[in-house]
Amino acid sequence: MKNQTTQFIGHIRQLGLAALLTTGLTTQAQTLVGTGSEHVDVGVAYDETANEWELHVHDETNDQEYFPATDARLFIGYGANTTVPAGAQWSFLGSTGSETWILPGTPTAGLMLLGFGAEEIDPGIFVGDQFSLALKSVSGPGTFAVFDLDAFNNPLVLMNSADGFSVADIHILPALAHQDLNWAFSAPGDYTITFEASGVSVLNGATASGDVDYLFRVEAVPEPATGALAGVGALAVLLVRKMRRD
Amino acid sequence: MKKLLVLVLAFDVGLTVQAQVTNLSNQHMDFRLQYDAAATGSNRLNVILGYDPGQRVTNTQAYIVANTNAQLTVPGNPNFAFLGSPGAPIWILPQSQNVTLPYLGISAADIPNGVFTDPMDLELVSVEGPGNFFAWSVSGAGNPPNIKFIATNGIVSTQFNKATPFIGSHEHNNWAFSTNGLYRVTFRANGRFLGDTTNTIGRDVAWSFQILPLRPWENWVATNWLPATASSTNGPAADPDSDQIVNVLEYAFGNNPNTALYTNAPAVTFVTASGTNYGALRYVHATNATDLTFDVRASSVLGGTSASITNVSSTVTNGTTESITVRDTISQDAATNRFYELKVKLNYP
Repeated sequence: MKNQTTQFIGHIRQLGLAALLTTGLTTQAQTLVGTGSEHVDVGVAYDETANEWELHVHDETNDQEYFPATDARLFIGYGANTTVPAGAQWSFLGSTGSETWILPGTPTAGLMLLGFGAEEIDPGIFVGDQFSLALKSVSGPGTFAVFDLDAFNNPLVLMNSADGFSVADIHILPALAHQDLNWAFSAPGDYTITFEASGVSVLNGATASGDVDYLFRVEAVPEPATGALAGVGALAVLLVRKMRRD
Repeated sequence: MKKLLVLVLAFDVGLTVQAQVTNLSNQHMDFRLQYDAAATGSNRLNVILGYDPGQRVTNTQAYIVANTNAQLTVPGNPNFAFLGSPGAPIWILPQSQNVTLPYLGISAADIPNGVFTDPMDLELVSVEGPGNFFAWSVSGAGNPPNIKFIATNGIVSTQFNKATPFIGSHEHNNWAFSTNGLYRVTFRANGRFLGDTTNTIGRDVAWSFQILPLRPWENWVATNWLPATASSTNGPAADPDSDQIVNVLEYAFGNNPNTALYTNAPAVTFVTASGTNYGALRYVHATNATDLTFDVRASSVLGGTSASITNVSSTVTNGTTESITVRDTISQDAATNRFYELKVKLNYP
């Protein structure tokens, strides 16, 4: 019991440190995007003259672009909090009934509608009129997935960090693409999600954007939830006890 | 009894060229609700189609075309029983982007803020075509589908007859048809002006879908008229060029339905078989009109009881048509009066 108490405190101190570090690193202020029901895109543009990719955030509702993308922090409100549904097709999100945050690909009151947008990439720019967007890494408190839905409500997984990063995390997008998608996070907190766009330019041959970071914030479900409150209370008591002993 | 047969010779000017029509088969496109403050009555609210990149068309300028890969089967999931029996075929234009199919949404992004109560309505008015029509959206995680439109056997459901796009926004749906073919789907945009207690109803706007493959008759219709043309003009029994040959017969004879020419009509003639003369009917059949049944009938009294005659005495092919002569069963000598009739039946779902 005593050991457990010590471990708890240690964990709390670590969390505190992590929070401090994060604060220290992010001195540059980001605009929190998606706190209402905005329609926002992870936007991909490509300048074939300069052979330059521009991966940005496009807030279509407010007609704002954020470039570099890290000028924005995409916000997933706690209204997205739900549980992993039953069925093998949903197991990529975790075990049935476990907590998850899903930003839906259909307009939902109070939640951002987030998609991939390549409206600025015209036909004729890339061979096959398509390019790739790869999920390269995810840094945050949980796992991350992007999925679409077939006509019968089954998920089509486009990217998923839970099983590592491979060709399975590369999504092919057509020129002029506009896809409103479902974005899933397994835990609340701040995430840095890294994408890389690539394609075969008609003008320049094979070309890639390099790694581009996007920042997300997944909101925890606020109190009060009776069980959670009791948990916090018990933790506080333990903390106080331990401190007295110290 | 001898008859002088006069053949009417005429040049068919060919099928109408419709360079203005765009087939939209794989783009992102939206039905866009439009408000025109300067118009009056129902003309204030319209429905146009916007498609990438930044193009806009009205309903007579484009077909929405789904290729054969739109065909799926109704799943066993009871949430989708509204589409039909599990395993039944269903043609779907999906809510998720498939670059080989139309990616069709509904947009109220052009509706200005501060004029209407949010959301707007896109109402389904009627569906004409060979099958049933549906639209729904899915939101995942085991949620039931959000059914927007159902029309079965040409009747629009009173419960599922509208989509409600938010002003300034757009939404995608799954659009489904219970069989392939040519469909004419009529919508109208409705909105409630701020402060009003009732909706202002927009004008009816029909949009045409080609769910491939088209039947031969549908191909002919799509070739000869603009999208969204009403059945009062392009239906089988209509005669838009007032030449007394209704569309299904113009189709059967290989005529142009929009050019007033009484040509290729069936004609009475005589044939000799084994030394006996018979009355006969000769008719022209466009060889690509394969979904027709021809029934040549004979009777002794005009308008009286008739019987089918099936004795084909000759078939002469002439390019895209063939001339078929069917002779009577009663010889010329044995008959006093004989009347011949050609019945053409369109075999259509």
